[in-house]
Amino acid sequence: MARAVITTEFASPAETAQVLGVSRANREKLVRMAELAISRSDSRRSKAGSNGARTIPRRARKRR
Amino acid sequence: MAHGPSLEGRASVARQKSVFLNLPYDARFRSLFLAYVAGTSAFGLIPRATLEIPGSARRLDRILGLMESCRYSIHDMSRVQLDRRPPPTPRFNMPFELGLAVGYHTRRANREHTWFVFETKPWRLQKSLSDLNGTDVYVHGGTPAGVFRELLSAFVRHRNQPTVRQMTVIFEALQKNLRPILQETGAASPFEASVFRRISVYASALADELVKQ
Repeated sequence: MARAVITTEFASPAETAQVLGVSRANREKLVRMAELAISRSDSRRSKAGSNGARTIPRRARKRR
Repeated sequence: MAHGPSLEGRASVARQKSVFLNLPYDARFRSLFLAYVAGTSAFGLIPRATLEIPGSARRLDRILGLMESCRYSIHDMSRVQLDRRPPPTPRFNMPFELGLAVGYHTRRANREHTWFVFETKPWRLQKSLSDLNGTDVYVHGGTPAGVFRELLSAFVRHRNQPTVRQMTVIFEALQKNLRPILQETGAASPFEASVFRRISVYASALADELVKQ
């Protein structure tokens, strides 16, 4: 299958917001949301990996 | 004094990074809609859609203008069945816009536009749109994971090639934060311009954090 080779730089959130007409205030809010989401997923991953413990879903924990 | 790029130069750079998403706008497609936004953003691209166009008599001109402002287009031909609301009618917008893209690409001066056809079911397009026989069809099976897999078959980056895992993280964050974005905009569904714009910027910010090095 033919593949398109993307050679351009990554579109930044600022560039994306400018093209789509999103205000600076909204863009900054969305960037903060993204940073928070990533840091949460990172900490979840590192917590699960740090002590070698098996991750038990919240619902399963309640049943115990 | 140093000058930044001209308005024309900026538009040209934006064009190289923009992808026109020709997708069905219905509730059953919501998950795949978010998957396309997540997946294309993970490639460092800017998703564009006709959702951005306000209704007016010059809608066709605006669709053409939007398509011309994009280096790539993705046309999902999954909705070929009749809708349930009377009178039962097939949706012609997506094949029509695919036709516009093919026509635009075929004109000698516009060879720089690359279009892709995506579908849920294998071999169906050969029946529904046999004029495209011989064209590669990217079959995603109607799942977000399938969309990510097929995007990886359609696109490749020299640097910062995304993975399915990264696309999935972006997709899950979009799903999780869709409700606050809907509440903030007062919209009932993601198929509204204000929501589409915000989730696209949000996906870009997630990709910037996760994929870009």
